Amino acid sequence: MSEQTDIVLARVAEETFEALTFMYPVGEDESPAGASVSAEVTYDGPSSGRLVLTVSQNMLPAVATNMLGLEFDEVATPDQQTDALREVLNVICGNLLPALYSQRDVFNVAAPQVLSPAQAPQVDGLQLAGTAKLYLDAGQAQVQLYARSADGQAKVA
Amino acid sequence: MALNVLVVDDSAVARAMIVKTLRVAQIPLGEVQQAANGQEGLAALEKNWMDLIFVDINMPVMNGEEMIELVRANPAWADLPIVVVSTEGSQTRIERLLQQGVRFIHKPFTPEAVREIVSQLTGVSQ
Repeated sequence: MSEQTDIVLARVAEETFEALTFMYPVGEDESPAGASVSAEVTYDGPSSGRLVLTVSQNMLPAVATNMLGLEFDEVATPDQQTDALREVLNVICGNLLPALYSQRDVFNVAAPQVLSPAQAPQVDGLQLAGTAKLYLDAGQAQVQLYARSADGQAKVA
Repeated sequence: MALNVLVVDDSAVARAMIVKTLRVAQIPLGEVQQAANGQEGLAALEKNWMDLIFVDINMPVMNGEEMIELVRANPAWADLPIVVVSTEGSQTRIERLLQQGVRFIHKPFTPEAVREIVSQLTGVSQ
């Protein structure tokens, strides 16, 4: 795991949350995050890996509401909330790969999946290549990158 | 002139964001069809005349690149304006798409970017 990867991961994740959900970084808050929900997405190409996004459960409605531009009297459905989480992860992953690897590389990104509360991400054979923790005005989020290359070594910078 | 628009993305939230953005950008809309993958998108095209297609790349069943190839191979749709709305960051793949005569909008996008490209492609603005 490299510090540079963590920095890139944090930058891409912050920019995505700002642009998609209008949620902005605030100072570190070490108060307990409470219940959380996770989603993961896998990618394959010159390297393969898995990106896992975990957010506070209580910020999920706001993520969907902001992305959909709902009015104050409208409430995002549970399906919209999980779909919004998947889309945030999709955008983070899509913007992360060219930032970590060559912009000429072609990756295939699978459809993101929301993990059930008891389900751990499948990281067999992968190395933790980077972690970013975001303290946003609506709650906390964490992004973890697990990567592997053909020779078993994470190729990320 | 109101535009009939087809939006193809496996995320319902992403589709809703594109439609909302078109409305915020005050693009006059006629019929709006939505599809969750390329195969559903082609089926929608068979049944409805569309003026403009927005399509994602990474989708299950049939991805956007495959759908675009099939659209371009059909003489009835060969000149249909297509906008790829995707997180795709590979210049290799983007160049391949541009050779199919599509325009590209990178996610996350702004209403201004959507309005400008729609205006350029269709001549329709507010």
